[in-house]
Amino acid sequence: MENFGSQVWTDLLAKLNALSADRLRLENELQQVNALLLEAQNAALSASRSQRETIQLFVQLTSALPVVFWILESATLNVLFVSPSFETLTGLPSSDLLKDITVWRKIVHPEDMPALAERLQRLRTLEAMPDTERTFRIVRATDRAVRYVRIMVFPIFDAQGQPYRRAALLEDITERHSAEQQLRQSIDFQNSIFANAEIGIVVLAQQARFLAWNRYMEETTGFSEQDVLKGKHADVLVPSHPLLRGSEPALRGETHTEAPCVVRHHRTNREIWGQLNWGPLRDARGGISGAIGLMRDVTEQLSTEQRLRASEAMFRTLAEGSPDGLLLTQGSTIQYVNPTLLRITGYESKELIGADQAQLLPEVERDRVLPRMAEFLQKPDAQCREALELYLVRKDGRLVHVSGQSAHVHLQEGAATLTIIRDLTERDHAAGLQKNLDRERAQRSRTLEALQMVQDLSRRLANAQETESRRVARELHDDIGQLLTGLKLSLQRVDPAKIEDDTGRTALHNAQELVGDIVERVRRLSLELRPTILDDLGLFPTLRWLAERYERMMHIRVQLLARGVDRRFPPELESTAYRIAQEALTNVARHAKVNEATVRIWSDGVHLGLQIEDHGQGFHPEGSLSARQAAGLSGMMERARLLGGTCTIESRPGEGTRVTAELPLQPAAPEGLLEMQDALSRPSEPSEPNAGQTAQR
Amino acid sequence: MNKLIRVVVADDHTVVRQGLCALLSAQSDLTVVGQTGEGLEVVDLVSKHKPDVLVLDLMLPNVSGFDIARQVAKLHPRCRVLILSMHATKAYVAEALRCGAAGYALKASDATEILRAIQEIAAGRRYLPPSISEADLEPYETRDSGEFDPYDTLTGRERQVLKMVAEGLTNAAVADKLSISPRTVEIHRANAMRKLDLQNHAALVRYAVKRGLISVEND
Repeated sequence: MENFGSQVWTDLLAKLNALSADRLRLENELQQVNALLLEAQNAALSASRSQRETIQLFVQLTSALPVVFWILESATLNVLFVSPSFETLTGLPSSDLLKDITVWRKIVHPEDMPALAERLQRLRTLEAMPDTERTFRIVRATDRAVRYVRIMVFPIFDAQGQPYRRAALLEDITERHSAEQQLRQSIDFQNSIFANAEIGIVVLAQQARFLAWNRYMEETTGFSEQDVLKGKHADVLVPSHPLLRGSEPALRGETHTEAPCVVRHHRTNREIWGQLNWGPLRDARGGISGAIGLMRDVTEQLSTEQRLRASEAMFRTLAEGSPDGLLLTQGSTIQYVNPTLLRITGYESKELIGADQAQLLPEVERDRVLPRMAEFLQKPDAQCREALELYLVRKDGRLVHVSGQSAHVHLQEGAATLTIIRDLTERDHAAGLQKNLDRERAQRSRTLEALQMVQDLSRRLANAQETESRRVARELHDDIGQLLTGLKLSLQRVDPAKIEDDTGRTALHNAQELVGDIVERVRRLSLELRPTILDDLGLFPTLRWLAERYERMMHIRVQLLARGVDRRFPPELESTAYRIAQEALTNVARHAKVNEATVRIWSDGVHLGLQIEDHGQGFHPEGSLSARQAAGLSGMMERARLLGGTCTIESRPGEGTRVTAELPLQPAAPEGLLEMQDALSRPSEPSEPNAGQTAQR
Repeated sequence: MNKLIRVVVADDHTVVRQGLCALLSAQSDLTVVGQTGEGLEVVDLVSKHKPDVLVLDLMLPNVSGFDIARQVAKLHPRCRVLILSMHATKAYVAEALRCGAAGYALKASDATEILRAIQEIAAGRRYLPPSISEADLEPYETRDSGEFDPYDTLTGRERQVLKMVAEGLTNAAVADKLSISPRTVEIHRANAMRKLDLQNHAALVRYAVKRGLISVEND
């Protein structure tokens, strides 16, 4: 058993050793743990201190910035943090916001409320904010001041990358806003000046590159701002253009005013007088970045001056370009001579101006001309209608043949005399030519006279023929006819029974028959020449008689219709109407191949009308007419025309012929022979019932 | 014949007048109370002698026989006038009767005829030359014929223009259609209106409708 005891001991000792080793290890471990603990405590301490500092820094930061920070839970809209400046901005304690986000409703400007309400709604429902920046107005609770506030919202993400909070940043931009507003207003103002100014504004950079071209320029030139700025009119608006002439010196730094120039609208051609004032356009550093031109409309103020200058220029042009010499005198002193007069007289201007006009007159003319001039001067109302031909003496002593004509003129300096002096030398030279011209003119007027004479003659001839016919007819009918009648009556008084021999009785019988035959022949002849009935009874009975005779001889029935003709007309008219009727009826008989014709005659007291119509075969107005027929037709028209009337002949093959004449009772002048129309014409359209030719009054 | 017919003879041809006077004087029932060859003396002579019959030549110097006849008929209605004329034309006869003459005899007629004429008119009847009947003279008595239609007096052009203008075409349009000048159209239009006595455009249109030149559409 001894062994067991020692074993136990040994075991115990071993166990004790082991225990003490554990204890050492444990002590070490404990020491390490303590060290760790200490370390941990230190760490914790330092951590808490750093967090505090961070928060403190954050608060300091948020308080110092003129912005309000706040953080809220997306889900609940609980505000977790708001920076103290919230109170400054809104006039509400931060705690109010922390309690309830809807406190905003109290301070947001009523006009911005709808937008904000929508925004709050979005904060709750939307995962991400589509727009993170917005400006709205609030009304500060303390002083009711309206502040412009800009809000920016940023999402905050959790470990899984989901946005679960929102950070918002509020900034008071009132000052900046009003500054911007002012700036914008000022820009608008400038723009409006630029656009609406009744003054043209052109801004040019180097190389005539346009920077500005305002509405006024557009209106006056017709070039639009857009086109000009795009360089579309670079071909016209070159630096030498009157509008831009001043830009180059301005680009060199010079300021100056150009002379007025005409500014023409390139489409409407409306013109104004524009005056440009140019100056350099300087950038911030004072360098020249361009040229600015301001254009004023100076038309009004220029017009008077301009007009004067224009009329002066016109006068000068007239005076200097005049082919006649012009002499302006006051009293007898020469005030002005034009270059033509200088040429005529061989003087120079300075030799004549201020001199007495008598210097131009040779001795021989002075006695004649000077008193006239003096007389003229004394009658300020006198008009010198006729040019006076006279000689002037040239500087070289030669005489020159001129004509002079004076007029009173009124100058600012007073009354003066303007004398137009025409050099007749050339006229004298050209006299031969002139004579030819005159001769030609005279010839032409003689031709016209001759034409008129022919016209007059033909009228007189027509009348003379009528008169002669009338005379012969009358003589045949009245004188010879009456004598024959007397002879006949005498022969009748011889009683055949008292004649003894048969030869004598036969002779008496023959003589009686012969006289009867001669009486009848003379009667017919006189009717052919001119029916005395026309003179004795007038037109209507004559036409009635003509119609009956015609019916009897031609076997064509004539319907004579009349209105307003139970009266006498001037003899010329009656014979013309009769001749037309006679001619027309003759044509009907010759060509119409009908057995009826209508003659209408009418008068309204102003005109005498006559119409002869048939429905026979007609004729083609330009077709195959015998020379006699053509002459007959033109004769009718000519007769009517000579009395200032018309005669229209209308015919179409197969449809007949209608001759319509109208003659004025008061004779009117016929139109010239030159306008005499052809007797014949063609119908203009097949559809027309008639066509014809009219000799118009 | 109980009563002598008192006759005045007026004829400027002496041969004729003397022949006639001789012829008349030879008749038992006639007596020539005055004669003259001067037209202006005739009425005075008639006033002086108050004859039953004036034998009057139509062609006296200075004054027309018709005028003398008219005066005598007016001043001395009981004096019957026999026109003695060269003219066998009905127109003359008709005109003589219009002027109040009771008879008309031709100088070319036989002496017996002239005598008969004087006797006939002295008896209060009319005398016409044998070649002329009363009916022949009818056409000469009325000078305004009822059948006269002013439209017929228009020329073809005037008719065309009238129709087109009535249809409402302007002068210019008509001118265009007819290839004439507007002025000519205006002349035609004015002439037509004058001939038809139309005072204005409304009357023209009315006339054209009435006449059937244009149709008025019914809708």
